[in-house]
Amino acid sequence: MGLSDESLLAGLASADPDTAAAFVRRFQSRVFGLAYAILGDREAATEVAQEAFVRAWRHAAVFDPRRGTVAAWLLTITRNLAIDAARLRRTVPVDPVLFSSLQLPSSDPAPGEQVTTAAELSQLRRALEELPPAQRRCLLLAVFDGLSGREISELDDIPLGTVKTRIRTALTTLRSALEVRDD
Amino acid sequence: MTEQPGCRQVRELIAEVALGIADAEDRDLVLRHVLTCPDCRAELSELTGVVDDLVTFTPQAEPPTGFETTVLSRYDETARQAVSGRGLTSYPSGRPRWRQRVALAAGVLLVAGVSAGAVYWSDRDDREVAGGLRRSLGAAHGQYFVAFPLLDLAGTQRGAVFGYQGNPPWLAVSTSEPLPSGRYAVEVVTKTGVTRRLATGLDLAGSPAWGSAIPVAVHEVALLRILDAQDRLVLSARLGKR
Repeated sequence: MGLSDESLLAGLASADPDTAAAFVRRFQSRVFGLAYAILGDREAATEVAQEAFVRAWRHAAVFDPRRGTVAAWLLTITRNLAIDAARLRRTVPVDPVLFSSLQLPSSDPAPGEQVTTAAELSQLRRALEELPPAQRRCLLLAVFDGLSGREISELDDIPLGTVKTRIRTALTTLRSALEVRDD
Repeated sequence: MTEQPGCRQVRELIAEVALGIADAEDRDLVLRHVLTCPDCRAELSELTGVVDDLVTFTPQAEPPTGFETTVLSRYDETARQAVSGRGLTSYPSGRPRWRQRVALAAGVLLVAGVSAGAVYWSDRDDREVAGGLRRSLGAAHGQYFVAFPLLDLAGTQRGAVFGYQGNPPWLAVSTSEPLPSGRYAVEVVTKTGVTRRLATGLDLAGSPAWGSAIPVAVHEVALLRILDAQDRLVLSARLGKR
């Protein structure tokens, strides 16, 4: 078994080159995959993914494992960068239908991924698939395109209040699905 | 669950804050509320966790050839820049904003009654600056004065942390721009891994500087963090070698 994600991140913080390389190898396909999914452009996705790794390195020392997994932390950095890049490029939002192929990581959960288990992610995915399509679309536009309620409202020509309600209901439904499993 | 005034309004906005798509006004309202409402704070934390998990669902894709090598060389390049960019003497000369901030930081400490030397440098030559620094250290029985960049999550410098190893030792923080409205906490992590919270409920939107005596020596501090009302990291500084 290899080093845990947290151990790799600690090595990254201490500027150990071998650990840094292992960290990049472990996460590069997920980081690039997310950036590419949001941007739809390999060149832009490459730039964003590289920047995400640089920022992870800069802030590796302050990662707090109590707040989530290394993967979620790194992917959140990537998401924020990709959304910023998408806004600058003024690209057409990725159709959430594309995300109907949302998938769990194909590999086994990395060592140390304990905050959210693979079973919980599977439960979350099922709950996402069971959401009413209109709710799912609003939620995915917010998650993967970073669109605000107003932007979604204009994009889909629906009232802002409806968008806000759909987003709120969708997210709390997913949270409840995880809670049910916990019970 | 104990409903507080404003909970209902905040609950309608929490999902958008968790998703990072709320406008500044709504975000401000929610973050102020969760400071004093544990139930809404827990709600925000849980929904943020769901969003983090959703992000992990994206399909994987192989990056282009050479990706790993490029990232590793950027680490090297960034590390070199960080080393050359640390320390008081390494700031480029002629940056008025930083000179103002140093004076401001010193002012904060004087008002606080801390026995510290105010450090100010102007366009005098290096020898005069060094002499002034020595006199300041001597006046407050100080051993050294250091400064480190304060970075945001994007790695952009947003201010500086100043450390004075005297009796008592102190740290001062100044930001180049006021932070978004809200309350902030400041904590340090020592080189032995111990976290010590120095202050909470700070208004860094109204006042872009803060300072305090600290319970450990400056050289024992590895990190300084500024956290928002949700305990999320906003700014940080690595206090490396002097």
